[in-house]
Amino acid sequence: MKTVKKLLPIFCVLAICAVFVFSFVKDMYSEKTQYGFACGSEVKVTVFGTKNGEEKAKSAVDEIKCIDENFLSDTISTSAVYKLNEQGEYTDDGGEFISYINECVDLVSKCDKMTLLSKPFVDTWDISGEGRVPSHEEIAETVKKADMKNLTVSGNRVTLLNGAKLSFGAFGKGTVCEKGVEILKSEGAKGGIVTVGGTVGVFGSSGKSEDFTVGVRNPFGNAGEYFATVSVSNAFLSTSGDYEKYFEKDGKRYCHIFDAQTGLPVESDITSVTVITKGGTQSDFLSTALFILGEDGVSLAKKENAEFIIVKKDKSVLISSTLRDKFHLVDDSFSVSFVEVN
Amino acid sequence: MKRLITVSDFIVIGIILLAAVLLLLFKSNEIGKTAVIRVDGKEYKTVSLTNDGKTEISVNGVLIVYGGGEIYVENSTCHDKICVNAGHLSKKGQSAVCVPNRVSVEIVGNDKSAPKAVTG
Repeated sequence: MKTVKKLLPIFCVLAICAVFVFSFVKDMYSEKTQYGFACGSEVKVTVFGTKNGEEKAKSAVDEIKCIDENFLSDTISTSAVYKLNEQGEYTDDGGEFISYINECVDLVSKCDKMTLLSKPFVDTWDISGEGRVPSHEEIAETVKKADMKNLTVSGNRVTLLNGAKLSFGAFGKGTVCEKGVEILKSEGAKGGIVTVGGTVGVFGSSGKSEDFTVGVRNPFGNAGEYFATVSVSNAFLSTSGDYEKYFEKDGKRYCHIFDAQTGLPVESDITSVTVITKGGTQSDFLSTALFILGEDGVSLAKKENAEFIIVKKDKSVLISSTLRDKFHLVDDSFSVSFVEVN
Repeated sequence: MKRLITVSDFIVIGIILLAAVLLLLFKSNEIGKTAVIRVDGKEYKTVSLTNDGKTEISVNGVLIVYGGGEIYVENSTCHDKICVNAGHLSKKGQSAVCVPNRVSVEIVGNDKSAPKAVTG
């Protein structure tokens, strides 16, 4: 009896220690999230099951900001794009910026209604401000400037002609998202999610499995509200829509995505397009392209091995048949049909 | 001879153990609905939404109202008003972001069924 009495306090102290150690270790490996702003959007980076996850998430957020400030932004005066737009030419000593422009030029060539020289549209329609409807002459002028012939790349030098101005609006968020994922991987993160505006990148494992459940925004609901979820692993998802960034004049809604051939904001029966692919830049480009092309974009998605979720204004939803087992409808007011893509 | 352990010692040890276990549970299971207000990605304030009355807080030109189970941006100095249009938030994961003013509001909690990310 006496031995038991002697051991009891020791046992209790050990038990308490065990609880705290367990709590500490669990906390160390629990998911860690860091936030920031870049590419005109909120950046959110979550790391799963990794020691020092917070630091790793922070370094991804910082690197994303850095890429935006030094290269991609068309509003921050320190960026390569800003300098290119100001001077009409830019020499890239590192070569990385030029090869990125070439990558985007290559993507844009797959959709003749898109352009890398979309800044005159955004500026003329004052999309970042109050919004205004320009005259026919002004619109015709922007269409001329947006012609991809105004962009030439030769060696390490990129040149803009006829007052053209470049914007990575339909690419940058996807690109930095992809970079964020690369950084987390190189720092040894076991799994993570990088969100930059409408683009989400997932990789590795969240702890239990490699499948991540990602919500698809309800275009008719509040921010953060989703009408369905998709289960994905090691993929990028991008969504383009007309429900968030727009302005209204005389009862008419004008969205922020432009048809490069007409110079007008896209008007269609589609309200949002989500694309799932293996690359961030690619998914960002494709969601914009499909939003502009509508159902005609399905063949482009097939060529690019991309899966899609197209939401129409009448709440009907077109989905790649390959997503059949991964797609889960949450809001029954939407009607779903699958499109064979094989 | 003095007893090594008395009944009161036992009770004290029991209470400490219970407290440790409860602490662990509470840490992973935040009770009540809360929202985090962030400025430039850094946590500015965590607020509870369970109070019945409405409380106003102004951050970087963004006027935020919370209480009664919800939080929303009442007004903002920005042009696009995307934060105001985000509407009234009441479910975990919902957020309102004002990019021009670098302010964001997000409902946090421990709803395991909610997705970890939303595209769009």
